[in-house]
Amino acid sequence: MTTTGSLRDYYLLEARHMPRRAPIAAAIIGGVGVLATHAILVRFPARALHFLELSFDIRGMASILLINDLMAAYFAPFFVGLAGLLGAVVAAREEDQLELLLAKPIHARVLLAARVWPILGAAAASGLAVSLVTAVALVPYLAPGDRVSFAGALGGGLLLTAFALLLLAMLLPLLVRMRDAFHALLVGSLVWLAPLMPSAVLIYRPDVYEVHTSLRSTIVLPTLLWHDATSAWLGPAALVLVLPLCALLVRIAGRVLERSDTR
Amino acid sequence: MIRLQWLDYLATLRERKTWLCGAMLLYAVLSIPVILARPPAHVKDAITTWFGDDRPFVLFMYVWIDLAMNKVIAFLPVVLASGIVLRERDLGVLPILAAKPLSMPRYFTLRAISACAVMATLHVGAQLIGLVYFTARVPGFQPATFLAAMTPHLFAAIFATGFSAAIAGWVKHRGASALIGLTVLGLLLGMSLVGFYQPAWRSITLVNPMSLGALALGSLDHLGPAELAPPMFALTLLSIAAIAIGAAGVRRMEA
Repeated sequence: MTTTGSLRDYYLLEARHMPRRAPIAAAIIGGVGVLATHAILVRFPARALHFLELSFDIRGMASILLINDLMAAYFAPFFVGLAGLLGAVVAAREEDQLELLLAKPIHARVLLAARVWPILGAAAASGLAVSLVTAVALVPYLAPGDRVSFAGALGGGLLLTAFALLLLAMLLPLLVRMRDAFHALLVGSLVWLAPLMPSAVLIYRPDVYEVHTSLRSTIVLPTLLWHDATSAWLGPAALVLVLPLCALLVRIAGRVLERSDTR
Repeated sequence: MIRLQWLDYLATLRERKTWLCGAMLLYAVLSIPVILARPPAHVKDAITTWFGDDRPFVLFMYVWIDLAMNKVIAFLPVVLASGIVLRERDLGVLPILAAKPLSMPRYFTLRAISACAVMATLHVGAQLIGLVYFTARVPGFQPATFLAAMTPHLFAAIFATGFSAAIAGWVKHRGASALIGLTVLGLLLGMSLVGFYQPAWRSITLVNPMSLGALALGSLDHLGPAELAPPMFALTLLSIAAIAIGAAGVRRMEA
């Protein structure tokens, strides 16, 4: 049986083999995307910008930029993580390597944890980088009386990063049973899109939320801007709190993997 | 070759992910009339400003393209085409395929055309179901204009699929291929309507192939061959070029 020391070595070995280029590229492209969006949006006609203000119930250029930037903080960690999980988990079953991998003298749940945690860590790092760029790039546009701030923008980005990690961890028990990476990619994409639907409803059917104000303050994206002071502390707290939840879901996924067929 | 192409198309059409794509499109068709049941005044004003037309049908077409079909063609082409040839290589069946009298670029072209055909089938199927459903549910719906306006968008969907396949042909890693495809298509589609929001940039935004797919939005009251043919022709050429570039990328791929 393995010892704690050898398990640590195994964890390090898996971490060393994790794809590194994707999270670095995502962080760079996400950051450049945020700056490019700023350069484009500030040149939009006033009426187009006013449409965004009315649609999301926000005011000022900083808020308009931030609502767009937050999408990058949600996109980058989720898809970097999803691509990593597809390669580490689904492709192993798809390419008939799972039986061989599970022939190692380690439990399936250890194999899964060793492969998944570095990917979640890399996804979190890319989300953190994009959130930082978002918050720093917002500073020149902040004006007196704005409802958004540097801390709130950073917190909003971190909250979405934490949410992306939670979605990835929730997908894991399903991914360990799938054997078509592109079917899994489609399912993952739908899971990513679904939480954005309430924000689309806010633009075109704001009347839906007229009698559900607490729902409006909970499930739509601009709520991170409306409650800037809360976002400032909730984002970092969510990033810490999501770790035990991820650990639980990785463990559940490990159990599912142990009980499933290797083919 | 044509028989093989047909069989490959049918096999791709029968895959579980294709059926899930179909379910996604059906959900889009069913949900859009609900989304548009009571649009707020500022949305109507914005549509009038951007498209110079205050008819509810123009608002419907904007939401159908921007909220539904543009999102669909950001994800579905990547799911259908970003693993072409790479999946066969990773599954270890490429040596068997390499032993057949079919070169790797031709095999890639065959698979890319199948993916484009499946994407086109899903797109056309969604428009036809929408044609029936929207006629009954959307006030002021114009079936002929709807079909005409969505035709360039169909060509944009085909280009997006060929483009995803081309990325696979050069990147040679499934995860990276999917990630690059999602990012680039997401950015192109996110920018596709910018020419309407900022008229001063209208001509420069036409370098974005995805803008060509939504170009009909600006001329819904006088759509004819002069408005529809140029974007369709340009997108056809771009699709052929994308598949050819992808085929060149797999030329040296080792089985």
